Amino acid sequence: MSSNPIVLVKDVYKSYRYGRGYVRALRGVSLEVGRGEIACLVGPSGSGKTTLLNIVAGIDFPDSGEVVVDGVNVSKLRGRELAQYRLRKVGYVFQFFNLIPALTVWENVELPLALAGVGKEERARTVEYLLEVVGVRHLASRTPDSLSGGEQQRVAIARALANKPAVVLMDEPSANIDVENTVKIMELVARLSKELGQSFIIATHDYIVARSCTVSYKMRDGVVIARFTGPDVSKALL
Amino acid sequence: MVGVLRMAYRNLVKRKLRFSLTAAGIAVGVALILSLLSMTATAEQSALQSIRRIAGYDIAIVNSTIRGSLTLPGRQSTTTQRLLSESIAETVLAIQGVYAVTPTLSIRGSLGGTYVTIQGIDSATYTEVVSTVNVVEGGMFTCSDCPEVVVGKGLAEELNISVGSRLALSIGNASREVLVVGVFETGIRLQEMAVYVPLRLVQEMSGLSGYVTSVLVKCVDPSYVDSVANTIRGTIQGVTVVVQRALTNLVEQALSTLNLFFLSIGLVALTAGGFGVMNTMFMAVAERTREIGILKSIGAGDRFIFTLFIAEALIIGAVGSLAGVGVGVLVTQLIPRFAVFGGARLLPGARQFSSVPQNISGLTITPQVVGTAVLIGIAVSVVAGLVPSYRAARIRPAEAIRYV
Repeated sequence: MSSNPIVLVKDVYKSYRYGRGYVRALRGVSLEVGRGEIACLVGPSGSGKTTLLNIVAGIDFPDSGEVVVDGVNVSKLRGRELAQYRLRKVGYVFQFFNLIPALTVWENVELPLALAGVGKEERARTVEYLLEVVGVRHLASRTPDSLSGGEQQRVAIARALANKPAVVLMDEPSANIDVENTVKIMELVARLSKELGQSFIIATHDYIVARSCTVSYKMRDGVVIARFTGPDVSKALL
Repeated sequence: MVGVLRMAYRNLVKRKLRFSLTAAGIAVGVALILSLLSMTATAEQSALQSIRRIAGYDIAIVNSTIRGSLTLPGRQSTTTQRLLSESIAETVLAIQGVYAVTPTLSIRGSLGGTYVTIQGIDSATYTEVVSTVNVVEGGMFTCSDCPEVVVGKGLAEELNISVGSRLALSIGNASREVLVVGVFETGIRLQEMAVYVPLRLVQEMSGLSGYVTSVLVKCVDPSYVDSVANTIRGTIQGVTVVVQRALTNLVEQALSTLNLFFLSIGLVALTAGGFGVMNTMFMAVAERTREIGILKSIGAGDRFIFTLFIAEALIIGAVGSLAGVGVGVLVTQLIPRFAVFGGARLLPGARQFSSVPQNISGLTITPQVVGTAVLIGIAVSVVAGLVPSYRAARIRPAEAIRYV
């Protein structure tokens, strides 16, 4: 366990109305992610990985429990504060349809900066730097529909990093890309973690992704049933 | 930086056909409003010109009492109007702001055996006050009691007479042979069935020396009209003072009702266009639910989403309205060639008047009319976009990102 976690999830419960009944998506989940850590949530479909990511991202609310990200108690935020939290504290990379189709690659990365009120020159510097870091500087003027899945994921990562978030959340990043691109994306994640101290929480059931994590949480039926670190991280898949 | 407007525009042009058809719905409404408002604006201008042409005076003074109405001996020589003392003209002329005054005596009589309205006028002051006597043949008589007349074009055609003809003029039992010295035209057939006769001659033949049926007044400036009318009402008893503007106001009132009627027709068309915009916006919100979820998850607030969709409605409204203005201008140029006004020339017996064609050659499009039409078009589009935009802003991101 990290002594000073950047993300603290404590005893989180979440259920959804489904038909006439309820589905319990999370049943007392607790975990911690330290600065620069790559935490993987591993488990089959319906185990609660995406629900947990959404709660940490501030786009869904827990029924009970606490989520603290970089000192901010997400569970208590509403309205404009919540929008500001999403803008500044977290970056989210979805498994598909990540980018805004009406905007170019450059503009997609620039959008969170503009929403945060960053000045024009600084925006330009930041976008250029981020596109360079993720290796898609040459695609700046292209629109999302002309990019491959891997390229779109890279742009989405650049956009997620735009406002220097405390944590980047990735939901099944390998779902729509091939093995070669998955390897490249995870190499990029590892580099960002090492060089920038960027924390990640990645929901996956892909071995290539899971083996790149520094810590993995095995989830089943809305609870964390095991935690693995070091060379054992991929055991969460078993 | 990508501005909200540019982002909205790009979203729209991604679906060009839908965007064009929706904007066309607005354009139809705007074009309709523009052309209909232009028609009433032109009609108003034309009507006011006609009023000025029919009666160039500012104020008419007539008797308001029953006493003084006159039936002369003889079958048809009857004036249905009541009489005034001619001396009123002198009193009125002394009022400040009065430019000219002319007495007239309108009476029934016959010319060459045909019953006509006889207008007894003092030609010198009459042409000064009523500046629109349009003598198209010969000239106006210059004497005050000589046996000369100026006949209306309609009457001249009916009697088959022209300048130089000599006919019998009868008022009651009195009859005199008169010389036709001129033919006048007003453009209104009924008015052209009259005959202008020197005032003194009419008074003498009718036995009404010193009496007239109306006194017409022209003011120095239109701004004097109200004060002159009030002074007349205050100083001369038993008269009715008719201000020409009252007639103008009546026309304006009637046309404003017509305006409202036309505007409501245009608004009905625009409402249909508005529903088109609403439909398009709801479709856009439904199609882009996931995109809205992504925007929210990267930090866009409800207001940003609302503004983005309202901007799309605004662009549809603006593009539709501008296209509507173009179509409307085209239609207003074509209407006079094919429709309402042009058709009047085809009516049997209808004649083309020298002053009319300039009014019907094209409809008036004022900046106010264009501005009103464009603003209404944009407003309808934005109002139609309010509910879909609000709905987009209220979408919960967790549900939206699950939407495929």
